[in-house]
Amino acid sequence: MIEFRDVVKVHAPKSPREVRALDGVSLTIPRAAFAAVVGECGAGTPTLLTIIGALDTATSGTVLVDGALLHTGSRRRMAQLRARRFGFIFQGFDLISSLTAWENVALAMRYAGTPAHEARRRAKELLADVGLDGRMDHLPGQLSGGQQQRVAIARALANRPTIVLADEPTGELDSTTAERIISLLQAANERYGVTMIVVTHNHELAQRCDPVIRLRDGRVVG
Amino acid sequence: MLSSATVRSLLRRPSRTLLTILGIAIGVMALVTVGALAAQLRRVVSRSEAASQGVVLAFVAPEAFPRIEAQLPRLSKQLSRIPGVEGAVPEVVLPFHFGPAQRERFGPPQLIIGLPDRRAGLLNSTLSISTGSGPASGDERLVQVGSDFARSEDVGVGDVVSLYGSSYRVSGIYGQSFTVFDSAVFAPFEEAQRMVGQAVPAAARRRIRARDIATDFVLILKPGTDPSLVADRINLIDGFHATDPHRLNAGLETTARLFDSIIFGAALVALIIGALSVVNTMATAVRERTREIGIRKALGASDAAVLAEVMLESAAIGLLGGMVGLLGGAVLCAYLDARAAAAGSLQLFDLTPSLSLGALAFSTLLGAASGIAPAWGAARLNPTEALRRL
Repeated sequence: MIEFRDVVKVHAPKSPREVRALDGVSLTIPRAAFAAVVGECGAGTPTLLTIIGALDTATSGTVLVDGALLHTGSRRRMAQLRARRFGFIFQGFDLISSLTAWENVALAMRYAGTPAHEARRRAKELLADVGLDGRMDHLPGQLSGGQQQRVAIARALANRPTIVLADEPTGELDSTTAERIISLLQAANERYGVTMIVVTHNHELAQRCDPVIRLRDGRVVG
Repeated sequence: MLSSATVRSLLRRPSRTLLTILGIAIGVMALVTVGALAAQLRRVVSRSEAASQGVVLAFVAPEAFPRIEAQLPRLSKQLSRIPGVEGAVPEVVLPFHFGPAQRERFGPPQLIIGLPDRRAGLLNSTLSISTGSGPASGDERLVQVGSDFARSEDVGVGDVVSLYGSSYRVSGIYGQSFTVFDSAVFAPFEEAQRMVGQAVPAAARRRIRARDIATDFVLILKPGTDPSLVADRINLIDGFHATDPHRLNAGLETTARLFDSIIFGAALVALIIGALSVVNTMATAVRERTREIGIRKALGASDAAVLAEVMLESAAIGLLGGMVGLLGGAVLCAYLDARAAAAGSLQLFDLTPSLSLGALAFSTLLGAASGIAPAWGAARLNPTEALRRL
């Protein structure tokens, strides 16, 4: 379970560029939920995602994951946390262009300390699960957008995370491919019990989620 | 070390990577070439020192030739009486040929050396026959040649060489010793005396008997004798001069040290040029890949992992530059050696395994060290900031 208690995040504090991205956010996302975070541009949705994913820290307030304070410890501990507990899916796929499909998936596991041979085996297994059996050794540039996003999903699930954070996972895909990606995310949520938090402007996707958290100007509005 | 992922990463900007590798390669090539030259010089110095161990050469001044006529046995005895000297053996050394051909060569001059049996025995520790057979007493028409002489004059065992108007058959070729003897012809002592007799001006020739000629005496020292003291005493004898072996070796050492300084200088230049080139390349690469670094951090890469990845790439550039530079240096050394050999000069370069491995290790460490600053910058990037950049 994820809990935000009066979380504030100020970017570039005490400077002319100061932005209050989150302004006293309190929310709860149950374990194994398929949650959506929706909001217009500037609502603070990416900031919310980076704070949940331990990529950034809150200026004030408390963030708890399964009852434990999230943002405590060294940079190294935060990196370990990201490797073992969180999976990330980005809007632009964001695969490493010089690595093949299976190497992209295995990379996440290598950062978590998985032995190379085991990482390779599991990466290929995960790619097969998302229907990319024949594309293991392809570089991202040799894959379509939908295929790249499936690699990204396999990568996000590589370390058996408890939480997967997806930032506009269907934002750059056509409706057919987007539907397939949504189905894959739902399947992962149901099959592995992963808490899925999706930032989206896609109404169809948001309708399938529960809870749906609406942000406006850094505040939860519903 | 060079995983396929690292190579693919380097090939993302192939021309930039290639130029950086070339920058290091040029530095390493200079290092390897000058290093091989210095190594060869050191080898020649150490072999020459070993060859002159325990002896001092007393040279007869040319103007003293008429005065020493018919006095070889007496002079040998006089020189043998110098404290610390066990014996004095006359020998004859003269140029292989006069004229411009002799002057155009790089390296030690081509000499004809006439050795009495006792002196020949002294050289056994320095020279050994590699092809054919050594000196045979009784046959005055046989000569032996050094390895460089055989190569530059294109002679083999059984071939005939012409020395001061007479023909001699080559009975053997000595293995390379990296001393002055490599470019010499070894003739029987009496034959060498005859050649000197022919070379002196006609007016003097009537007054000199060939069998009384010696160009120098080899003074064999008793164990523990200081050769400098012996040389000083020789220089007091009218018509003789000797070079202090210590001073001679010190001069060679100074030259060797000079070359070492040149290597250090070349290494320093390679260090500066190569390091700046790698720093620039890696800083640009890190800047271009800021978002990728952000993704890696989101996936759980620690600061140390990012640091290692960037440094691995810069070390790989250093290693590749080192390999290209080593190859280029080896080719350059071989080419210059081949040209020197064709011109009858001595071998110039000694590209030793330790020099080769040292150059590779140096360039790899240089590459890795040059990547530290950009790698540190990458490692300390805030993942959120990095992910925001496109």
